[in-house]
Amino acid sequence: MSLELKSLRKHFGAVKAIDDVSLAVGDGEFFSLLGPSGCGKTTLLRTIAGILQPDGGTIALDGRDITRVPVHARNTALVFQSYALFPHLTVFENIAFGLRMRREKEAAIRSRVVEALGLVRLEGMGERLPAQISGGQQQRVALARALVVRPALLLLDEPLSNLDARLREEMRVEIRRIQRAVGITTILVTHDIQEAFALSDRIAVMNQGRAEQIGSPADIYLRPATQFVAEFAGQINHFAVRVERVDGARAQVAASDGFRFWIASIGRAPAVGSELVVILRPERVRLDAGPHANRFTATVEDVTYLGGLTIYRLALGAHRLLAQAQNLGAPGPSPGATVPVGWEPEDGVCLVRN
Amino acid sequence: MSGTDATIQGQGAARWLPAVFVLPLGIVLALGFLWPLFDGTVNSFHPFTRAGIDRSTWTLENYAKLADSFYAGILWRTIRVSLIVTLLTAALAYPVALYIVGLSPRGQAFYLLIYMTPWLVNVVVKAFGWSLLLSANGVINQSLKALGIIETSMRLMLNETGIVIGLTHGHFIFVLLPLWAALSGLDPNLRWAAANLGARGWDIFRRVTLPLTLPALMAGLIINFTMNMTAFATPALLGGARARVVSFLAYEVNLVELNWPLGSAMAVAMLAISLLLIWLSLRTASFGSRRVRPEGASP
Amino acid sequence: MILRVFNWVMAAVMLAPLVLIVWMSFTPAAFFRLPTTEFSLRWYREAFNYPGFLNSFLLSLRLAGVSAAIATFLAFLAAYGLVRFRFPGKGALEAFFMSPLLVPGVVYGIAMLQFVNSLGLYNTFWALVLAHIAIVVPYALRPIHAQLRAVPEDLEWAARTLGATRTRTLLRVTFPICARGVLSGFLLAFLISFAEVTVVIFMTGPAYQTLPIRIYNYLTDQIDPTVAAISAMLIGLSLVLILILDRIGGLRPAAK
Repeated sequence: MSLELKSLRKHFGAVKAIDDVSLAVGDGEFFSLLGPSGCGKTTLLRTIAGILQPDGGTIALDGRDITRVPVHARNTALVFQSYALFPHLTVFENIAFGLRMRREKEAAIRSRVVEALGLVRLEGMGERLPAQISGGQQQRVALARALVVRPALLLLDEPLSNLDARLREEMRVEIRRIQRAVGITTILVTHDIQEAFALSDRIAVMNQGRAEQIGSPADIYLRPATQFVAEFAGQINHFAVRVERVDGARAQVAASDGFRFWIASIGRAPAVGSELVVILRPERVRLDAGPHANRFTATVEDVTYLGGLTIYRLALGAHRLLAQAQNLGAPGPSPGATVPVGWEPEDGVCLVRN
Repeated sequence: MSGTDATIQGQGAARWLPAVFVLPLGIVLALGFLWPLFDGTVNSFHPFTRAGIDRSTWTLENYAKLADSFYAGILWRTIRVSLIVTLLTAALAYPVALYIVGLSPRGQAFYLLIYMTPWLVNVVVKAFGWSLLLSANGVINQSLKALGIIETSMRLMLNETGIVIGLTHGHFIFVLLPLWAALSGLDPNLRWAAANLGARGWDIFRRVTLPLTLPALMAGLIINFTMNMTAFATPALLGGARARVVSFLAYEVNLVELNWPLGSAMAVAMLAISLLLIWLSLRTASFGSRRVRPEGASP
Repeated sequence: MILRVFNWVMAAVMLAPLVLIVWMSFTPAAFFRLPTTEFSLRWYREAFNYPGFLNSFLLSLRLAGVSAAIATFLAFLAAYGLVRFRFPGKGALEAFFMSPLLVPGVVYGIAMLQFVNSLGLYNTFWALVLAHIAIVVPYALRPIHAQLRAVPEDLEWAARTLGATRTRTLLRVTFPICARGVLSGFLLAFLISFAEVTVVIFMTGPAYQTLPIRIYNYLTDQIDPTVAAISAMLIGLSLVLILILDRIGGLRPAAK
């Protein structure tokens, strides 16, 4: 089912936890709410689930307004960060809970719970208590419990944050597999950019109660709408600059210390004199003497070896520049070395400075 | 972890909803607890006549009567007996607490349970047990006679002695428990530090242990005293009419003389005194917790 | 060491009256004399043949059962309201619910005597129940409150998102998870109610003599070993309840 939020607002005292958020999630879409702690993403998720009442705006499921529908009648299943498994019920009864609340027939409950156990690969674990199974298994039970009621929406609140790194990757794949198999519209809350990229069709990056940008993972990464989104989506170099001259599809910009380079003026052409922030991802900074439009010489200050990749911290005049290079065999430069660096005008992302 | 997000839990509930949960108990307590106390307080300001309570006039004569020598004498006995019990309990409980704290956790639990038993056994059963020991032909008198130490029975109950013994036994745990808690919460380093500075056993106790546990001891003693002042069954059964205490007198006034205004005045006075004492004990205890933890002391 | 011996003596003194009662209840003589080695169940037979005691015992059971059940129910609701909601005056309300602990039995007994009489409820079962509810509510409230606070709110929300109404959530999730605390609260309330003497002495007449009152009245008259047998049974009963309470951890939050 599709979900539509229209100018949703919620505040706690003076704090705007949700500040005029509007977004639409399509049927079967995997949508993520991404942001740092306290950005309002969990509040938003809980508001969608009906646990919290919004102060303004509407929530609609398939066009039907459900803003005032109480929690238990919303048919939105929420998987809690803590899993919130009922400690006094077996795995089977935990999963059966929602069906029992819907007063399904005993035979139907049995077959659907068994089916759900199969879906999350927990066959034969039905009689255990939550305390007797591992964290990863608890996570699967929580997922099965939410899915078995065939909810209109599946809401996941940081579902992987309590798992260790390896299990997290495994469950990531698992969640994606199950979501595709069931074809259910899913909203994930996470602060983990990798998790959001790996799972989502689209992402809303949230900051201080607002959705700063909504788009595909590639949009978020390659075309960040704000510096906040750019920084949240990974390491960046950024330059505060002023446009000095425009030359067709290009413009030359200068930082306050006179450091000049070219940017692409895609779309609306920047006016001379306008103030911009240019974002440059480290992997776009090339350590070679190729015929790049922007060519400089820098000094290596620090080298961080990461296996497949190496991160270089470079000094470029008064500027610090991060560069990332794939390790393809030949050893890279060492600290203290002088290296050529370069990038194309299209590599930089321009944002209007405010 | 979305820390700040998690602090704002659901609150989509209607404003009147909490009332559904807290009101039933609130109403029952208002009807069965507050109202009677209020009603009794009102009665204490009306005069008592042959026809009953005269609700048309207001008076302070019931309170004035409490100052009469008869009532004042009984109040004085109650205070005296309660104080003796409290001091006796302090003297007896401190060594016990000191000893218990040094035991293994199992040993501590075992002895605490033993000292707790009097509290867990019905008060009339305890009084009965003591009367087996203390009565004219009880175990103590029998034994002493058999040993030839005394010829005629000593009077050990139905007087103040009986009350003191019964109350000391019954309310022992209320001093022991806070004292034990304070002692086991003491930083053992303090005592080593004192020993290191050349203090000897008695000095350590007098200068370190005692001052640090004094607030807990005081709080326990005040509670103990309050309970002694208002005890009913123990003084009634082990003291009786020969050694009337305030609560026993209140029983006679209310149920024999049926002078409810006076009885209520006595109740109000007792309530005021207990609340004052409890407040005092809470203050003492909180004062203590501030003093026992100097800056940076171990938790 | 002196302290060790002293502790022994004190512990013995604590138990002495209780041990004597049990001992006496098993001797055949009408007077308790030491030394005695004879054994008899005579006084237990007497106790059960004496209808006054049996009636009182049943009354006490009924009174403690009914008041503890009502108090536990009310305390559970109240604890839920206090733990799960924020509203003005919450702290004061909580203090009010615990306040019966602060009022001496004599004071409350006198108040109830006059109150119950003015309402024409003197010497009725339900007047006693009302008084006992007020007396035991703090004891029921404490363990339930502590246990409820340990139940994560998300468990309830999980149930609600799965389609359970608030009532069903309360019955199917919250209550079962708190069962231990509720049981502790109930047993504690039962124990306190069963042992209550002062308030009942003040507010009730001859028709409703609870077991402790019956023993009290008996003691003011005479001493005969029937009382010993009954007292011994009472000691046994409280022992059993306390062991259960200790097992389910009910004594910890309740310990003063």
